[in-house]
Amino acid sequence: MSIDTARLPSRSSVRGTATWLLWMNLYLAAWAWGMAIVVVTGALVVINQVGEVNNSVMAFARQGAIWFPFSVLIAITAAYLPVHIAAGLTRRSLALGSLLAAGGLALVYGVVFALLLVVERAVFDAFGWQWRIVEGLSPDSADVATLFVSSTLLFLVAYVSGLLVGMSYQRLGGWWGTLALPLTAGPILLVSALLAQDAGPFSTSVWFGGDQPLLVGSAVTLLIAGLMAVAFDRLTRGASVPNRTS
Amino acid sequence: MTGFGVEVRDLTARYGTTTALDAVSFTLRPGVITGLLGRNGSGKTTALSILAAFRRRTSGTVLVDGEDPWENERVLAGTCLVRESGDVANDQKLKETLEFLGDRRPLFSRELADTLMDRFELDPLSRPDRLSRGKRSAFGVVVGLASRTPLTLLDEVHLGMDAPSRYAFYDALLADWVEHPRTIVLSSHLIGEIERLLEDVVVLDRGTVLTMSDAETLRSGGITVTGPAEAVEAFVAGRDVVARQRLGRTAQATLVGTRADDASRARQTGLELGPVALQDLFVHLTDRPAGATTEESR
Repeated sequence: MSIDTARLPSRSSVRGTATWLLWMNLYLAAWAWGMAIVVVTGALVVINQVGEVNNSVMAFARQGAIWFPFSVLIAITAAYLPVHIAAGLTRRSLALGSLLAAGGLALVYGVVFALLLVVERAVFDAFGWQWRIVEGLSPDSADVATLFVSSTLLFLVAYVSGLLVGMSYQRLGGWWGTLALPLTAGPILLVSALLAQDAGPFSTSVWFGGDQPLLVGSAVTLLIAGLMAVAFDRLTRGASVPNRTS
Repeated sequence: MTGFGVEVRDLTARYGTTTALDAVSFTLRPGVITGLLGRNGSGKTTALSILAAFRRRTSGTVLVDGEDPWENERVLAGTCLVRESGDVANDQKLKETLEFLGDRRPLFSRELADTLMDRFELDPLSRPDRLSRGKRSAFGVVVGLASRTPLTLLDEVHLGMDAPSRYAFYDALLADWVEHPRTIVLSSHLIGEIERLLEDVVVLDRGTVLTMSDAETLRSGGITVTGPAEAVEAFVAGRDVVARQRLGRTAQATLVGTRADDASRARQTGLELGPVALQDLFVHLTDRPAGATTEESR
């Protein structure tokens, strides 16, 4: 038997890459949310013992849901590039697969976060506690649907940012990678403020006008995420596999 | 045709101010095992990295199976470069990496991978970051051979492997290549060990091609002379001797260059002529005057 020609991969390498990266991150997400539930439950018990429960504690888990996957995606971007290329796959499939995985991950984190808020509110109601969100980055009157949309979009920007930061360090090196952080990671803070609607430092009603601050914030957030995705794609397609020593 | 052929013309690769490859041209015949030889810093790893699209070239032309390999899905699917450090997920079990590759490499043989895992005594449940260097290298061999890609590039994959493992690797490579012919490039410093596998040889030195030939032609460029020490010394007097060995009254000298009357002279003086070892030729070809500098990492 001889090997006459190489066959193309039997399934879409973009889909395969996205699936693989998503599953790896979902495994970590299961641990992260499990720990969040334990910590939030413990915090509620303690607060109830020493004072009065009148704020959502789960709402604060949003910060963890932003920064934990962000950090993981930085590390994965650096570590996975050689593995991907050495497996005979293109940078194009890496870029598109990573972005799809980031989008899927944002959706999963958004859904889980919203569901846990619903569960937490039911628990509050059962115990006769007042449930409201006072974590500084959401409107006081935000409902779960609004939080779901704004959180999912914020997660999306954060995760694309994680990919972009990782690839920036890979391509530009330590100094330039750090100097580029305002552009690569700064959008997370910008979008956080934007999606806080009129409760945050940016009053979207004043800045952009109109009476649909979430709609305006979402549109601008998607535009920013799109620009970051294009930047990540461009950087990835020209990336060299670094020499590693064992 | 069996395997991918490679054509490299005027290939230049620079890292900043360092020129790793300087207008290098060579070809790799499809279906042939080629040795890519060179001293440290000669540009071997850079050349292989460009063939596998691990990095971009600065200028020149690289054609793998007639096409530029950069972001070429078909060519990349048929090319496998295994570097000494391996390029696998360090935090995944070996069996998970094999599954990962099985899903992505169109010609990957899980059966061969399992056979080699057993032969190199690799635990499928272990992780690369918990393996010794020799075991990591052995896993690289498993990946490289089981991928059965039409172009397989093995860059110093034997480092850290003990002698029995290395010979098991050579035997496995040859056996699988006979059954599934493909283009294989072996880069190694252990020329004496791999020369029996090589059909073609490309020697790089300081970023240029020193010589490119089939191994037999290269070997025929010199001879070894064995016999009584005095007779050997008389035979080689005034000629280019690249290696000498002596055991009691018997001596062996390796010469570069042949003469038409070598065979008759040897018969008259009771000397035996033999093929020259690639290792000796390599040392001769890449020998540098004292004080010459090399760049250690290319």
